[in-house]
Amino acid sequence: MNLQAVTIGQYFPGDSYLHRLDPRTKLIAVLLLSVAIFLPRYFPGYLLVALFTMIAVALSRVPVKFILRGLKPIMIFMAITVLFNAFLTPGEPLFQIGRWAITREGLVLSAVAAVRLVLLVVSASLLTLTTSPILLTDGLERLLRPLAPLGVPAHELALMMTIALRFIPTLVEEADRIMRAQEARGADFRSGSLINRAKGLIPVMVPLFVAAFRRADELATAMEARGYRGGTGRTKMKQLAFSGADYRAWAILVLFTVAVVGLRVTGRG
Amino acid sequence: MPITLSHVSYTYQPGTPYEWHALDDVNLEIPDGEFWGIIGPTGSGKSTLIQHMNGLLKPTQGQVLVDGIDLSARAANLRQVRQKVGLVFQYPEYQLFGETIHEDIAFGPRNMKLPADEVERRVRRAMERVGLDESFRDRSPFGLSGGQARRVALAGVLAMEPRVLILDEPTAGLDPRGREEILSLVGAFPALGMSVVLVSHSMDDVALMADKVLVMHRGKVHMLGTPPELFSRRAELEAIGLGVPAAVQLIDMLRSRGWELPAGAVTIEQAVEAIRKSLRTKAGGGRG
Ligand SMILES: Nc1ncnc2c1ncn2[C@@H]1O[C@H](COP(=O)(O)OP(=O)(O)O)[C@@H](O)[C@H]1O
Ligand SMILES: [Mg+2]
Repeated sequence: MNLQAVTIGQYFPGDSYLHRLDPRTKLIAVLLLSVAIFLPRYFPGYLLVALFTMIAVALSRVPVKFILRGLKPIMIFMAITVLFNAFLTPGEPLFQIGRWAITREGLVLSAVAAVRLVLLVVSASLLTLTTSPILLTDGLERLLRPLAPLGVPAHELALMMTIALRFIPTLVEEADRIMRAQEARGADFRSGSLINRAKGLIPVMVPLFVAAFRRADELATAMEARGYRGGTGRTKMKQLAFSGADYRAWAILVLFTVAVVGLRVTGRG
Repeated sequence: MPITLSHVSYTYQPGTPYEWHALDDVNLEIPDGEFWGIIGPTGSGKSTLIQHMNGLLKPTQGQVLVDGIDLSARAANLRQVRQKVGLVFQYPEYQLFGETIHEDIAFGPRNMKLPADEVERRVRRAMERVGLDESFRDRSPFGLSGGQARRVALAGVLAMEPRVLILDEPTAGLDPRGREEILSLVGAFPALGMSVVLVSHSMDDVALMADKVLVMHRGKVHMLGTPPELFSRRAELEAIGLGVPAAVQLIDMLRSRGWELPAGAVTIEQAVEAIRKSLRTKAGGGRG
């Protein structure tokens, strides 16, 4: 088993145009893009959304291979979606397999579902790949701050996200080490029945939970020792600031949104 | 169980920005029955190296042979290799999981599919070897002292009765008493017929116990020799941020002040012996 392949939420250090954008710009862009992905009805609309995503990928300078790796975990999910759509959509049958038929409408729907899913995952991973966890949570906190009077705990949410993002790689590493240590004692995570394999996870899960609690404890102590008191009155060492790159990005985003909505409203895309 | 590495290189996370060449063309042969010490600065590849010796990591390039078996070969029975080459990870107590100490130590032997009475026998023997008496048997492995927990973890590997025992910094993070206990255990393994590979930060420990010392630096074999050979090359060791045992420092200092002392003493006992001899000849020379 190789846990090093887990790249979801990973940051890919770099200095591309996307890396330099303010995290708030990127958060809003991803939000807009994920709505835009579901707007098109016809081919030109999809083409526009796909092109936009591909250009963003190119601008990020993250190797395509690396981005595709992030798609691996959703492959099964995607396969199921595609199959269900292909077989269960009523319409003009193309092939018959027993009492099941793949319909023309089903194929179109499957393709649409697959494209949407891929674009959604790619655009979301672009956000985490080009934004360091700290900037990401800073951006989120700033975006949520206006909602604080409504009872949205902006600072706490951001802090939880920082901690989660910070500790995912640590826990993955820890799990990897524990698995190798148990393999050194003859554990086998690769073969055997499903039940046996699930049982085989106990020697990994127990130490992993113990480690997670130990780390949480240490972190809490360290935060208290440094006088952490929550968000009120807390200042930031690095203030977020929009730059020329952000203004250009906004302009492009507005144009893009207008185009996608325009195509949809006029019934052309 | 000789272990041979030829042209072994290993790269972590190849093709990502986190790519790291942790081992670079390592060639070694650890013969049967020897006690090897491995030293090197942090990040020099020691832990990566030892995980190749029981097939936990497969070389990106090169070959690892254990008792003539190529560990990268499809047909290699890695389980069998791992019971013969026992590996104790750094901070092994973080891998404890059993409800009782007995349960945890029995994990390895049970994975070997041994009959119940043999498992029982091995658990008993392993506990005895690490100095845990019967009263520990049904206690939880959580909530032991650092030294005790580490001995439980060590027993978990010993219970597989390996022919080669590899230990990754087994005294890290222990108090002086815990260190002493673990070291005296490790020192006793050769007499039980095991080869030992000890990764250590302490030059004194390595000088005291090892037949051969391997110095790793930036993923390469930097130096290799017996403790006296190696610790006579003090400048080279210091150049990569390592030191020499206290005994060597003492002898060097005395020599620089004009004492006539032979090189080659690396342990305190040897240093005392050398100094005593020198004093005797001095006294003898004075009379004559
Ligand atoms: N999973 C990993 N991914 C990337 N680099 C790693 C990984 N594990 C170890 N390394 C790197 O490999 C190098 C050697 O590590 P290691 O063998 O643990 O060294 P040592 O035990 O001598 O301190 C270190 O620089 C470390 O950062
Ligand atoms: Mg190490």
